Amino acid sequence: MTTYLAAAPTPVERAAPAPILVATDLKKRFGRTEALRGIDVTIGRGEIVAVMGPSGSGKSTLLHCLAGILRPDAGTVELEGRRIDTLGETERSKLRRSSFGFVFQFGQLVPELTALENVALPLLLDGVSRSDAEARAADWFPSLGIEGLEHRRPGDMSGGQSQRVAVARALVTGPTVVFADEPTGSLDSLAGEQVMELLSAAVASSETTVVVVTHEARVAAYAHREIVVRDGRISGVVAA
Amino acid sequence: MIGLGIRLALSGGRGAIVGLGLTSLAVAIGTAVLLFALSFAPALADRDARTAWRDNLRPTTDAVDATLVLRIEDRVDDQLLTRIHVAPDGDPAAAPVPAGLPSLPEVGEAYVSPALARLMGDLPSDQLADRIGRVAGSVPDAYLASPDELVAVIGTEPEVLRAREPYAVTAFETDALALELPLIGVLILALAAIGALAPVAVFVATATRLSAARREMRLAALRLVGATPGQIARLAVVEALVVTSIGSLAGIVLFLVSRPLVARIPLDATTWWISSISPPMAAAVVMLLAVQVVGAIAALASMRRLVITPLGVQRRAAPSRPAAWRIIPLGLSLAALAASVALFRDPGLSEVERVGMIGGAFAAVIGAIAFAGPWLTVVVGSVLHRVARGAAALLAARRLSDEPRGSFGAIAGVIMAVFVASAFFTFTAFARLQAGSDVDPLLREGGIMAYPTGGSSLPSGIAETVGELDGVIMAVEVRSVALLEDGEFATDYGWVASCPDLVEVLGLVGASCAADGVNLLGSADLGGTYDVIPATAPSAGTAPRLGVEIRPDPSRALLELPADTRAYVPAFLLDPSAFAEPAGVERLPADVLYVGTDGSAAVGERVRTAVVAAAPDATVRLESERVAADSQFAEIGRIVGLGLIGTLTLAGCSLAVAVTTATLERRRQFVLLRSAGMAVGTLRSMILLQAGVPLAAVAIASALLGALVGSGILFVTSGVLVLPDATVVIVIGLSIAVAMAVVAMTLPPLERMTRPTSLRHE
Repeated sequence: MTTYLAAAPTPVERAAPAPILVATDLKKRFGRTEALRGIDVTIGRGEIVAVMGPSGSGKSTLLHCLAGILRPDAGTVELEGRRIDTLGETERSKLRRSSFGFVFQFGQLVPELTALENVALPLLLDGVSRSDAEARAADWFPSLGIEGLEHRRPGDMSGGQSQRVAVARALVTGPTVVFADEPTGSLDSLAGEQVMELLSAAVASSETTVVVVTHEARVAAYAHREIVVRDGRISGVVAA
Repeated sequence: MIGLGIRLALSGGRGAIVGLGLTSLAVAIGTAVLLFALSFAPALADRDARTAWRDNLRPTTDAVDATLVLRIEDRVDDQLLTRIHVAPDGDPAAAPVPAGLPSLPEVGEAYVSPALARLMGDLPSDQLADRIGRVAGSVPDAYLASPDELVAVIGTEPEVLRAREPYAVTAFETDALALELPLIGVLILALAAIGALAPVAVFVATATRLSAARREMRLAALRLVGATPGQIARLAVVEALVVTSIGSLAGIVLFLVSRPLVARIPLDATTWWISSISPPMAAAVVMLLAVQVVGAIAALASMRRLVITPLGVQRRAAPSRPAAWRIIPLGLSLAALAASVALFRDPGLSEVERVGMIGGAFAAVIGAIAFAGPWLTVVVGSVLHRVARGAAALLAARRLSDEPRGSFGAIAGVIMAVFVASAFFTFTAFARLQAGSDVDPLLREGGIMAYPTGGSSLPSGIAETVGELDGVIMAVEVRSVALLEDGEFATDYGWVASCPDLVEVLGLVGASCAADGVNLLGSADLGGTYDVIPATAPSAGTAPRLGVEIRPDPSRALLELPADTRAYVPAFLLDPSAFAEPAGVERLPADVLYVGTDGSAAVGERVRTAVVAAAPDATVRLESERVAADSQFAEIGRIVGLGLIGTLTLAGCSLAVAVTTATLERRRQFVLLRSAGMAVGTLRSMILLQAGVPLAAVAIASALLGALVGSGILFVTSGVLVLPDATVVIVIGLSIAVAMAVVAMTLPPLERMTRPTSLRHE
């Protein structure tokens, strides 16, 4: 496992990657509020895409629909050509476990479990034995600079450390796509940058796609492409 | 998945451990209560089996080689003493021997229970041992109702027993009679079990809420990483099973630890063998399994109410505001209770049906109170909102109206306890009414009376024997007599006794005896020549008789007596001086002995011992036992009191947990309020108002309802209209005060928890 701490954002000219996640005419409403008003978006394999926009613009809703957390009211979401918006709850759960990883702003770690157990959790849920799951989870700790924190609980770690554990957990199953919703929102700038460096470097070697929702330009700077959402619609796409 | 569930349940830090501990404690208390409930019938059956050899006596008509048995209930040292006089009838070698004894005791010997042996060692022989005789051995534990029981099997002359209508038995039974609890007793026990379990259920529900928010967050985090709804349900079940398993094991330990204490609680004036309090193994296993199943079902039911999404927990539906129709089930359950009470005496229904019906209706009323509680809380909140002047009252009122379920949940335990208490204090008031006394109300302080059992008479000269005892002031023999005129009964019965002595021994202040020895105690038209015969004589023709001539005197005044004793005296009192031969009255058998003493316990026992030594079947009652005769009431009162302490403790715990949970859940809101300038004192007032106002309002309503229900049940089952005594007011006042004290105890950490500086950690 490579140590990514020294890595830096190095945007490069890329050929158009093969599409892996395709959303068409996504609409989502919460009561009277129209969160998404017909969004079309295509995300390629190994691409890092930043979804930006002001508060309430619908960027988190878009991420939740793409990740199968929310089911859109209209439109389709395809992962590698397979519709996921029509899947049942159990299938979507399995999909999230096997193909997706998540890093959220906070509250994503199970407070009762140690850092190691938290990272091993998706594997345990997949039926991997505890010893194997923890062994695979432990591999991620040195590479993410959190070696020695394996047996700490979330309450005993700093925000930056918790987010690195969350990154490890998101990557432990070898996901196709990692979804990150304001992953640095609760961190200071230095810790935030460290987390993003680790995340972008970790996915670079494995062709993992990253969709990151943020309103911070610093975070968006790690992306290959920025999608700007405003009032539930895409108002612009900016290549980095 | 099971391992993960166990780890999640057990490794949640201090807060989760407290939640786990409290929930397990609630389950433990519930389990222990259920184990005691299951043990009740076996304990009674065991007690009956142990005493079958003396309770289940079957007389035989074949008076060949039998054992004569006379069982007397005596008293010593304020306790029941059972004397069993035995004698061989026929061949002594062939006479059956009571179970557990090597042989029939010889005349003057006795086998005694260990507790009696100890007491005999403690008391001088003229107070106890002379009643029993020489101790030949012990009655084994297996044949005693309780370790404290005072029992003596006394060898007696056959002739002495034959004169007193003994049982002649050819074998001593070891099988108990079928257990027969009086219906009202079964009903009270059934209601008590329901009443005791309701606060336990509330405590379980409240304790579960303590860690609910954290648990829901955890489950949401699991969903985020891909746990399916099925996996979440399995985790919830495993977590619930961890709690119920720990709780059940702790409940078994609690049951075993508290069993010696419960064994000290007397029922029917008898404590219990600890080993008797054992539930049937199969029933206990089924019950323990049922606790696990109920816990798992409850966990799944709580999952149904929640949709755990990866983004957090969403309630399946926003709870609507409780409407007034919530009061309807209460009305229906009260109607059902009234109907079941009305059918209580229906001969067409079996005992089980009747008790089940009334118990079910009582449980339904408790459930209906819980159901109506949130609506009542809304009403209380609306009233408080109308009268609110300050910020604290306004916030509390809004909170009550907006979240009535949570607010009522906090006080539900206390409300249940108050309802059960007021219903049961109505029962105890009834028990007090029913607790009649077999002690003659004529006895003054230090007074003793003795009377023969079974129509025999006291031995002649008993007054003289007793009068010589240390501490005795005076002993007066009374002969109950009837007057015959021309062979026909002329009046109601009367007494023959020395009037001045009787006036003195009974302390009839102001009574002055008639000069001619003829005193009227009630309405009697005396005048003429009469034959005086014993009132208990089987027939006028065979009875000993004595002539007396009474001069008619229309101005004859009633002897002065306290008004409340008039009902307990006969029509007249003839002093021996009324007879031509005063000494001749001794030919009439004495049937009551009144004794005046210095009032000490020792002289009471001395008199008993002397009377029993002369007449084994005589009953001796002390004035001081008037209080002891209320022991049934005292027992019920003690059981209700213990139950109340238990339910109120549980209710207090529920309240503390609920207030703490509510404070934790609203911590951020409180921090923001304080940041905006609200004083911590105002926050405290708000919490106190929020708990106190509905508590007082609903507790009073609940108490009135409890009294109504209790009175209704008693009115129909016994025909007596009983209202709870003043104790209920004290209990309700104390309940509210204790509950508020519990709430106040949760307030000190409020200042620290809601410091505005903690905002940045949120």
